[in-house]
Amino acid sequence: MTRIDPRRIAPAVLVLALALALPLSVSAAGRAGAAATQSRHTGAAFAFGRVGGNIAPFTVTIARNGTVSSAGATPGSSLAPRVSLDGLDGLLRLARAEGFFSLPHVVVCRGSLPDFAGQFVTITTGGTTRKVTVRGGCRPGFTELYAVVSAVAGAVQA
Amino acid sequence: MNRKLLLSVLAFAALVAFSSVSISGAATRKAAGGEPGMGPAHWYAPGAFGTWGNVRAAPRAGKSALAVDPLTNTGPGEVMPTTRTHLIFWLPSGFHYSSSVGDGNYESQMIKYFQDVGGSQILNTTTQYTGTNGTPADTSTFIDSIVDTTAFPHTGADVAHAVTQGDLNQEVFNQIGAHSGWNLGLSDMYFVFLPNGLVDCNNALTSCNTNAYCAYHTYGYSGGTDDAAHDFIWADIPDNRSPGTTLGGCGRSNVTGDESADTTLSSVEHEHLEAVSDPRLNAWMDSTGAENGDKCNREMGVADSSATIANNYLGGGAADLFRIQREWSNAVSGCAASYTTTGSGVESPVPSGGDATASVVEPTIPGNNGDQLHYSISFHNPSNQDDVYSVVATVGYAGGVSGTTTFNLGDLAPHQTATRSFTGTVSGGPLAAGTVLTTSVTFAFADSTGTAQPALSRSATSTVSNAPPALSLPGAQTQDFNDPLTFGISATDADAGDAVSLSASGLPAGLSFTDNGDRTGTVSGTITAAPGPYFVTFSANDHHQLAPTSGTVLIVVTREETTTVYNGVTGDVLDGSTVTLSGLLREDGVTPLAGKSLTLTLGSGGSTQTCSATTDASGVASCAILVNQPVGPHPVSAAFAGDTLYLPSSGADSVVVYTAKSLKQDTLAQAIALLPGATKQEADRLRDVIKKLNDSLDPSLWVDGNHVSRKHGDKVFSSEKDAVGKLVDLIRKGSLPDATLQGMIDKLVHADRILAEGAIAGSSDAHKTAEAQEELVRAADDALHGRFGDAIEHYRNAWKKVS
Repeated sequence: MTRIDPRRIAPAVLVLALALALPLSVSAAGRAGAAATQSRHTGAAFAFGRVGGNIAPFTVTIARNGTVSSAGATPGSSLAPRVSLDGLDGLLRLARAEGFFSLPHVVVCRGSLPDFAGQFVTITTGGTTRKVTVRGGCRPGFTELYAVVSAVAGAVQA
Repeated sequence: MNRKLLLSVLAFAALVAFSSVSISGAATRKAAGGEPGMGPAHWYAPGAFGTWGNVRAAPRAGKSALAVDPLTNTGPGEVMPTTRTHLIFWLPSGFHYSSSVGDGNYESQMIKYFQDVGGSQILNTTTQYTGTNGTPADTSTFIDSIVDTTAFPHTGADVAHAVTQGDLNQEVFNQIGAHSGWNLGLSDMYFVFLPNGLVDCNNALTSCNTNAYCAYHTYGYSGGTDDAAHDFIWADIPDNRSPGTTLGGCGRSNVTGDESADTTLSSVEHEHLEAVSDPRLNAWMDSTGAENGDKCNREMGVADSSATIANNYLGGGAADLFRIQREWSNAVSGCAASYTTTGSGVESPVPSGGDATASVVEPTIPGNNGDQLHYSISFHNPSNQDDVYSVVATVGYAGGVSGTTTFNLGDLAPHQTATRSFTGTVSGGPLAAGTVLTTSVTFAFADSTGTAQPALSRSATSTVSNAPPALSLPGAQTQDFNDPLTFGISATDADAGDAVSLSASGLPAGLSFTDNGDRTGTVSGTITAAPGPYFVTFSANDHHQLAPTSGTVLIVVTREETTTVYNGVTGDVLDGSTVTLSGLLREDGVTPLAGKSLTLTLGSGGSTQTCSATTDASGVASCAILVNQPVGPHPVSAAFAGDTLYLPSSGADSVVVYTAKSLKQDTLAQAIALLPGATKQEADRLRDVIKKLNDSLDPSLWVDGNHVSRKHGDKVFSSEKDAVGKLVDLIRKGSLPDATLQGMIDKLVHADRILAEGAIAGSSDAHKTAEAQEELVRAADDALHGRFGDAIEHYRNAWKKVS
């Protein structure tokens, strides 16, 4: 049996998450260039969470302006109040790199029991929304994207 | 480095980092010898479905993962026709359940569920799901439980060291091998209860009790053969109130005081019933792969509103409380706590008897407007597992009573009771005593499917109890006609709120009755009714009785008292003259009484003269009468004989009847009386007067007292004249009382005037009469000027002219 070792995932995810979460306002570009910079952003919105199985569901939403909100039994003790616009761009880029937009809408991995909750990520960009729900760990790209998005939003699993 | 570049680098680094992680959906263990095979899971994804183990499920394109759709037997696969349950409390040294009341209680609560669930309605929901091997019966038998203190193969401290599905599969397999009667196949099921704080995951460590489940069921198989005969069905039951793992994601229930056990039991039931309908993960599920428990996860019905509301009462006497989720029922296309093949598809609550009550605090009320009736109603859900929805009590108040008619008692979990108190107010009163006030309450409700159930009706009764009023009446009353009469009556009533109306009938005319509005009444007025007895009926009506309370007072009207005063002629009355007799009639001596006949009387005995007259507005009645009485005093009177309304009364006085002759006789007597006191000279003169008067009184000269003979009457006048002359002398020269003497003169002059006037009255010769009248005028003038002798002379002339 091959184990996923969370200790191997966590450092990379956390580094990336930290970088994505840095507010643009503290970057070298400074506040004066914020407006001009914002126009370059993709304006993507994200949502992710847990659904199905016999555990309480939750949803975390990252709005186009980076505001983070949640509903349900959100894990983690403190959500990030906001994700920078550059961070959102980075997440979108990561999603594309992971082939998110070509994933099936629903993936039930073998070995995943009906009682297990699935994870979903929803991305809205360019007027299009795509939601992918995966139950189990058979889609590593999705698992990575979910982990990064969760970390950026502060919804880190125990 | 600008920020954009930094992000790109980091993203790339992350991708590289993640790509180095080997992620696998699962790894298959070969089931051989002492190592069991781990059960398959159906899985699908468009373009990526396949088999693991030996079961697959076809994808259902176009269905949402969250869609609610019926369960179907996807395999079709097997079910568990019954379950023999074995409990494994895997509790190595140092581990405990989170129960605040101890591991023993936690374990006994779990055992209690399995002891009770056989035959329950929640288990009965699975009996609609037929498998290839039969149909589940509503049976489940708790066989035994063990506490295994063997150390966990992994510490379970975190995900990296989680106890895995494989570890549990092995544990169950080991215990099956270690215990007699622990069988393979689809009739035995094993539940592994993990302690507080232990992290357990799937073998890939991606789905754990920290992030993906509260419990799960699956199966393993023995001897390398995955079929119904070689499979063993088991469930992982983590402690659902375990901080750091399940806490916060697995709900919270506390209906027995053991929050950990009560919360975990919903997951126990969830897994148990899922396993019954889908033991090998190839049978009953919906298009998203959700089983009967998943589709209703933690749906507690009405009990959702509070963690402390039980929703299943199982065991002997339904004494064991559970707060466990509903299960999907195709029969109702929703979550249900029961299943029937008739009706609405659930075991609809059937309240009866004391489950619905209606009562009223007041057994009796006076029945006046504003009286309040305090009602209480209750509705109890007798079901051991099914909710009651939308209980509405509709009140039909008794006649004359009003109030709110509809009460929404809400939804009720099993064994819950809703109560409501409300007030009805008498608004149609006063209500008759003895009236039974029956207020009905109809309880309408629906079962958990929303299907209306037969309504129940209850009633509460009160009776109008109201004492009649009592009258307090005075004794008999007596009063005269036309006199005022006032008296009071009163009533008492034990019911303070009663409005007592008083009335009277049969009152004598002129009297009226006033209800003072304070339970007193007053009779007043002036009686105008004819005297007689009057029986007056007084009534007191409190408006609650069939008939008012009544009593009688006798009022005797008597005739009015009158006074009659004679106010006609009195004093000297000339016989033969016409005099007026008069009387004044008054009520009670005050108010003149008109229109009444008075009898006026002069004289007495055989010479009595009477006349009658009617009183005028002043109460006076008068009539003239020609005096025909003997000379001397006589009574005069006025008499009212009385009538139906007035008592008789009378008044009297007197007159003295005189004649011309009597006047002379009186003068003669006076003269004689003066003699003793007179001087000789005066006596001589008095004797002359006496002689002359005697001459004038010679009976031969007189026809009657007021008439002298035509032939010799002249002598009367001449004698008178002489007598008057002597009396004048006496006044001038004597010491006798002048007034007496003057009175004597006046009488004589007056007597002669009577004689003259009497003659004139009898004359038929107008010319002579006129001449005689002229003489009378002269006589009067002379008399006025003291020429009494001349006056007498003129009277004689007058007499002569008409004689």
